[in-house]
Amino acid sequence: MKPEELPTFFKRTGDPVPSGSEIRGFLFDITEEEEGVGLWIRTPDRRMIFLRDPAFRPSVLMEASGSALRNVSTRLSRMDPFLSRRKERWKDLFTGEEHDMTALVFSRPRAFRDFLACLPSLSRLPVRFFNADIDVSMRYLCQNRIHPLSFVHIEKEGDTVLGIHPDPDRDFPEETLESAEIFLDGNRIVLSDGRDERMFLDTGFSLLRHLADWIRGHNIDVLYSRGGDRRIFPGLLAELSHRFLPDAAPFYGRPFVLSGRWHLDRSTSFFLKESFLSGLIEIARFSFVDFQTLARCTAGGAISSAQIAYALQNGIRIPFAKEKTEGFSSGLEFLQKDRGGMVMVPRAGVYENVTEIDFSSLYPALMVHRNISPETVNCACCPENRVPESPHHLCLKRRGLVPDVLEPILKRRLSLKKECSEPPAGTDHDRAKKRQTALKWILVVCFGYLGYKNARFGNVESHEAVTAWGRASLLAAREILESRNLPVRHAIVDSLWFEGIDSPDPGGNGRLSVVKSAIRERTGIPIEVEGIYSWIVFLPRKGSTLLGSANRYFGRMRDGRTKIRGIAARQWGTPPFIRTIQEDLLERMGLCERASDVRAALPELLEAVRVRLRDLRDRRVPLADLCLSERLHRSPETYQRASPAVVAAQKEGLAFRKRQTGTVSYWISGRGESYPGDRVVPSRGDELPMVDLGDYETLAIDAVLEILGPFCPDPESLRKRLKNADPSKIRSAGKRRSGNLFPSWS
Amino acid sequence: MSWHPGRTRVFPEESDPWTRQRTRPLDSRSAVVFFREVRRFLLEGGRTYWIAGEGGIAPDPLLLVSSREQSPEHWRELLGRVRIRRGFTKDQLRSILGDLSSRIASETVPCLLLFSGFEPSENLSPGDSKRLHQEIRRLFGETDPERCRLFLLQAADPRFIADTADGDGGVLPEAPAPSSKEGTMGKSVSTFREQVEQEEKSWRPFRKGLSRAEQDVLDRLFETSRLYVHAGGEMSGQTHPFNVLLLSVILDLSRRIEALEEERSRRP
Repeated sequence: MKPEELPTFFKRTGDPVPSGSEIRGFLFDITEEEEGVGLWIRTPDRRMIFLRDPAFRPSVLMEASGSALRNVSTRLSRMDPFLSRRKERWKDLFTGEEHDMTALVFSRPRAFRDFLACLPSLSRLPVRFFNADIDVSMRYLCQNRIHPLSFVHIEKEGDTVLGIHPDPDRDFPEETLESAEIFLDGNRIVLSDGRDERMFLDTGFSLLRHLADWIRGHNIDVLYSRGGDRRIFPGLLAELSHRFLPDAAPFYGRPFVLSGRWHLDRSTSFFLKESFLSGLIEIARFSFVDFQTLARCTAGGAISSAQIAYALQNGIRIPFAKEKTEGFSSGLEFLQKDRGGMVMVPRAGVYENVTEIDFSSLYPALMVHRNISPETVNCACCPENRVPESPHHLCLKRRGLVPDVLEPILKRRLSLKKECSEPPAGTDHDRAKKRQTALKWILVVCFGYLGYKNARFGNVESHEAVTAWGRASLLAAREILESRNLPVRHAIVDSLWFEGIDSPDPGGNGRLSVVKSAIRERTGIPIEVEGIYSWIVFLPRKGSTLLGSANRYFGRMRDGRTKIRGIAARQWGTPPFIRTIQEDLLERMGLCERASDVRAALPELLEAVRVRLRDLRDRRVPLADLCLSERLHRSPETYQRASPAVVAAQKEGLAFRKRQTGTVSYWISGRGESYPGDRVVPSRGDELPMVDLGDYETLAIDAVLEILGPFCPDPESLRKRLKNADPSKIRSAGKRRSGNLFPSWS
Repeated sequence: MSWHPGRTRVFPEESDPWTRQRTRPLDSRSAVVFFREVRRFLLEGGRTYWIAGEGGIAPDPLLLVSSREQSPEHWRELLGRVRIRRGFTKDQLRSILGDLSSRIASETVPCLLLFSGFEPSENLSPGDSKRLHQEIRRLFGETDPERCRLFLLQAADPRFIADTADGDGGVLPEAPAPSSKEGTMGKSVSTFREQVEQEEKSWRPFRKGLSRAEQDVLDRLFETSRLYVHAGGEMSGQTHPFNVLLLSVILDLSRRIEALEEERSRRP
């Protein structure tokens, strides 16, 4: 037994194959077999049938001169004696022209894997490979135009597949899946299916056999884990390998996938973390990757696989190495094109009756609406279709690959969003929400992928065309608003804040709806209303009283919701004590319908803060609530400035490898200390926790001023009022290095 | 052509791969001297090609021109003599080098070739970097130095800030920090806001000569100009940032005057 075969210990045994020449069910899993591929079909009556398709042969495309072609074919024939060649015609993405290509067809998936292993060395020969590094299961799915989990109708003979046809309208019934969770309790493995929980006390093969028996006995479809890929299974298998296969390569670093059932690791699956199983199933509708690989994909990997599948299905060849680059630009053109989204800086202050609107998925929608794709930018045929304020132009004659891939995803997300806001009877609102969240991530990354160096279908010029149209759309929206006497106060890339509308327009016939449809008509992008603020505060930039900060604001909406961005309460590393002060203040301010009401409530708000500060001075705040956290992106010794976080990390002895990040938590023990090491105490370490109450009071007052300052003509007077609340206490508490005297220390 | 870069030749390693002379990487001081020489070359009618890989000095055309010594028209003309192209992978860089070689063959004016981001980094393995260097040498190593000169740029500290005032009173714009934790994915050119801030920095000697009260007024003027940087960004590549800064200040003053007049007219 080889280490690669160890996961097959958990392989499912399929239910007996029913007689008859056809079978219907959901395509649950696809596996590489010695001959062709294996299909796991889950029938509507919950049986799992295993079928084989031995006729499937993976192939790659090659473009080379006669001698080079013969040379490569001879080398590959040693790997696969039954390798065959055939002529095919494939299109080039950028020119749209058809080319004669030689397809090398491998007789077995394993021979194809061997080819992939030596592909880097082969690509040094005068040969260009296309459609090369694409997974076998993905090729099969693309060739048959089926998604994982889609409902299929299979023609068969015995357990051999003769034909497979998708039926895209049926949704996979996720509620019928049997699932279990595997986790570590200390160093013991525990398996639980919600009703039955078992801890395994044995080790080695005996443990492996018992685990497999339990999973088989409970007929588990989905095995969730936390750290299964990195810790649980590799640890288990490494122990076995060490004992029985001392020369085998270690198993660490490979995903642990099962056959006929899924292993989904919550710690390595982005989509599972963000949108649960429902979101993952939704992504499967647009991708052509087998489900367990998809669960481990990033959002970029998912969109990339959808693009590759589109190319394969439309006869577009996919180069092994990306070569397309931008053209030469003059310095002036470069300054003009290399720009991002537009930000209009607000004037800092308090505003009333402000409406916030957003373009719905602005960048992906622009790619679809304006036909922005690597092959449509700067085409030879349409120089008249200029991108505004940019040296680029876009094709009008040819539809791009990227817009074609994105369009169904955008439409599906819009329909799911509608389902979320107006759920039809009998639908699961929560599931629709999870599904639309998963699609949101796909749409978020598709713009970045357009300019990403490793994206197969990316080009920095198309990336620039998107931002140029984004800026033009924002300016158009502003022009429409201001022509209707609705002054714009702030705008960031795809959102605008404007004054002048004071009713939410429930009937959909009012001023707001008119404005929305006017913007949509002009830009082609749908508009969503985020909300109407009773009052909103744009906070000033550091060191300025006039200029607002683009991403620090908070406000109260007419429906009572509050929205905060960029303030201390929203920042990850803020001590819980200070976060609570801000959240409490915002909750109280949320009751005030007008800015003048907030001003009138200032004495009451300050009193609430004084109570909190008194708790601090009287040492009734747990130490854990005073702990600051910060993320470091480099090893502490590489920083030039000894910031508190860096000093804490140095004291803690943190050291990172290249590209590694780490977090550090610490208490402030005296910002004024002359020796930097005395200024902070790391939370993980042997040092006794010490805090400087005076410093924490200053931090707390700063956080209060951040919120209340804009409502007060002289914010510094608030500081004085809070500072001088109880001078005797402050003096005694301000004594440095107060020690671990907190009675409620935890 | 009387342009002689002299001792400002900058190469990635301790020794120049062509001449085997000892050289040094680009730091803030040598960057100022070097880019001033490039400006002089452009002024004399030469053309500069800048090929940039990922991870090195970002190809910001504003590094090659200075605001003070030329009129806006001249500024535009000089930027028009610069050609920039970026490649993000070794294959892209190789294909760009091929294109460049055919371009240079048809050039009628003296050319200066700048290569940055070709040193080993997270994006380029030492082997790939070496192969690319060999390719540069093969394609351009034999060209007549009077027609075409090559420079491989490598920053001593990739986050170098070349803000030391040069001999002609100009100040180089701040180079965008390319070595973020994830490499240099993102912008190459400093944003318009950064350009305006850099311009403000360049007026520090003037500010120093003012009284405290006047300094406060000047600071406020610069501050108000930042309210309009989004509009200024639309003028990117069309005029020098200082012109936008000036117009923004005038705009804000006019707006305030109008508001005051309106307030006065409303008073009984």
